[in-house]
Amino acid sequence: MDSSLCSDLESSGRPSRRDVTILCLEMARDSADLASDYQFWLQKLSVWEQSSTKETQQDTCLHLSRFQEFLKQMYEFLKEMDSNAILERFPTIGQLLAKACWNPLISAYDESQKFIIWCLCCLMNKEPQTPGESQLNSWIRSLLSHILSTIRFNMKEVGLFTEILGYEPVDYYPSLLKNMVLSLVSELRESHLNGLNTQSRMAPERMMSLSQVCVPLVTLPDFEPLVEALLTYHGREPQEVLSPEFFEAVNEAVLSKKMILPASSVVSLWFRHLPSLERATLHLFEKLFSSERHCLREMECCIKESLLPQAACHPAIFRIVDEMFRVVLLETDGAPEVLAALRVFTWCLAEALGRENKQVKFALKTYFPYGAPSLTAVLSQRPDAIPRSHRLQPLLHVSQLLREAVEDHTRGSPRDAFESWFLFAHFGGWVDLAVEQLLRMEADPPEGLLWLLVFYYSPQDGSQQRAQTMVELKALLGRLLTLLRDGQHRCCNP
Amino acid sequence: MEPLVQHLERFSDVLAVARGAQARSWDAVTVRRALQWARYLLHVYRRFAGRAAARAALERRLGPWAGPPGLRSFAALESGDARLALRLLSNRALAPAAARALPRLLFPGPAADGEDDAPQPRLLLLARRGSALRLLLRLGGGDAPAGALLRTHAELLGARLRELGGAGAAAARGLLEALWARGPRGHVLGVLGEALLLGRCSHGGDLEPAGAADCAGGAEETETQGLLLHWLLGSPEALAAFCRRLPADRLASLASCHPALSRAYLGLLASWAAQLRYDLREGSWVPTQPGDMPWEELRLRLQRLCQAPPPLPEEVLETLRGGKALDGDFEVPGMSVWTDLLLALPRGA
Repeated sequence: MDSSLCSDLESSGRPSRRDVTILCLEMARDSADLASDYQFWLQKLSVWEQSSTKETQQDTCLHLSRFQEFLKQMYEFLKEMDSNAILERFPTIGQLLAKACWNPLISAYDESQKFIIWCLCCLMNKEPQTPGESQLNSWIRSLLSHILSTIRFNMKEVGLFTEILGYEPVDYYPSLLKNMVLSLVSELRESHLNGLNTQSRMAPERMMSLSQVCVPLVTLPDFEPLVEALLTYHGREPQEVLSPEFFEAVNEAVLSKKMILPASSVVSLWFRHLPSLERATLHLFEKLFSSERHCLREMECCIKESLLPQAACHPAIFRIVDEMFRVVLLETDGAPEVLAALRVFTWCLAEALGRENKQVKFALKTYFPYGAPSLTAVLSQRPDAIPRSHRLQPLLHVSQLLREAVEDHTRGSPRDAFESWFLFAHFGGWVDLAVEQLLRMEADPPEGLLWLLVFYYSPQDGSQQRAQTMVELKALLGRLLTLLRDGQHRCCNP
Repeated sequence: MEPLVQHLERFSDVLAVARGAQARSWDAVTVRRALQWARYLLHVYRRFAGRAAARAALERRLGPWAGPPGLRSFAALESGDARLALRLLSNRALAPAAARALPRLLFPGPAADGEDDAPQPRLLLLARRGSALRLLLRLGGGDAPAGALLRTHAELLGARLRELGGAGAAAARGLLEALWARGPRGHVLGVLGEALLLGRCSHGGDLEPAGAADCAGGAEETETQGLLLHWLLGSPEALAAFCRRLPADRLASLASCHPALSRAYLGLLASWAAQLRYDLREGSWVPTQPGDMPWEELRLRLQRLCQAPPPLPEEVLETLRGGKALDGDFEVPGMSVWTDLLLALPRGA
């Protein structure tokens, strides 16, 4: 089919041969991919419909987003074809779509039900010639009807209300869903409060099942109270009772803004599921260190929005984020945007810590175990809180402490110098201050300030190299200040 | 107002046809027109959603209309397309041409993704919610948790009664009679109990109070609860069953929220107490008929009432003391059921 199509188009003279060839090849490749995926998913769906054990549910949850991707691709492929062509290409497509419909985890997920329905619409035969084709149409309609009004209640009480009171799914579903969610939330709260009473506590298996059921539904607004209740529930069991897929799903929904949760719930999530914290930090890094340059103000916005500074008030969380910053700094060789981000992040953290009025405040050492306590204490002061005229002294003090930490470790490894530098990099505001002071100096610039600057921008230099750079910097400063003075002079005396 | 009401009435006719055999005569154009109609009503809903006065006026005007349930309230304007869709999809009598066109009209595809007045997004939400319910039901072993179901039915019953309330209390009574007649009675009584507590404090049960924290309840709820009570207090059989079958805790909460009910309840308890006789051999009060309320249950219910907030405990004690006085004010157990009940109750109140 493909080659004849290509030659036909070529002879008609319109699209270029090359374009068409590429198109044919793409279609061929896509449909080959799709065909093998199709077989894979058909088999998976058959396995999943056999049982609904915890393992099957978990497997389904792990595949939800990939299956949706497949459905989307299927739709793109099918939408150009008519019913008979589709059936020729994928004879068992009816089976696949039906199995997907009947699997509530799949049909509850995100937009999967939309793609299933769209594929079914493609399958409708617009001009049925045979009874078989009409039959297919009627089957599709009944499947659509099922998707929209899917519950069969066991109890006859429900039938009563539907008949006498005339209620339909569109009246029923929102209300019943809301009340069932409320009921579960109450159950969780009671379970939480009656911690020691084993009878009223929710069994771990039930909590696990509940968290699995929530995986496809975290982005449905009706479920938000339940998600929050699950995140903030702390059981008595030493190990985690909720499924990891649940945490991942919530984390993804929060990061892609499909769901808004209060900060305390998000922090709770990160505490309980380390991969989510790492994913959130990476997500922030992707935003900050993308190809476009961000100013400090934009960085601050991004960082605050991510809720990571708030979460990092807990030293355990801070240490993990800090470690990730450290890795990125090492890998990028101290790239300026990373340094800037680290600085802004620490500033946001300090602000968040200031806002917290908890009884227990952690000592600085818990956040920065790798720095000398005296150094940490000095660095963490707010530089802009010091009046301008008194800034030189603390700056020199910082410089001296750092110098001691770095140069006295001649017997230590270069790693210790790095640790000191890394600590210093968190509090880059001091560097700005140093530059400010240097530009105001009338007389010789103090050694300490020169050292500070050189150390910040080239931490890995040996002491010889550093001394040389300091000399060059001094000279440069001298020139700059002369130019400034002359310029000023000329302005004042035209 | 008039044209709007007429539209609504016409649309409900359309919905009735969509469900029945006359749909045989429909074609794709008819379906499209019906859907456009539903969309128009949706726009009206959105325009007036924030304006309470306009809504109230509409609902008053709809009152006398004997249209089908579910379409007589303002809220019904919003979901016309979903109702139409469900009826048409499941109607086997729908003409083949219309049936073929229907899925695409309901689900046009990516183009309709952004249109929030098209049926597509709302039908998809319905589908998703349905799946959510299936999952939650599966979690509970196939049945909805009793509390959630009762609460839902109570809310829906309240909504119905509000719709009918505009037509006069007779229509509301008719509905309740129908429910009572068709049963299952246990469930109906449970729903009534739940409905009488909606929006009120001291709720008990496994759901937290949905409404205000005060005991007054919203204006709407008070009205429907008034209708319910009126019917209940006027139907002796239902009232007796209500007071007999609902749990003691639930009845105590109800009694503390509705004074009329508490009087009726206390009266019934007193009459049941009067039917007990003292069995010398067993040394306790026993029922005379097999269906009568036993001593222990009576005592429990009275105790729960005494644990309710005032003035209930005082009323209970007053009733018991009154009975005791009539019987001769005996202090010895075994002579008067009232004495023994008083003795059996812990003196806290």
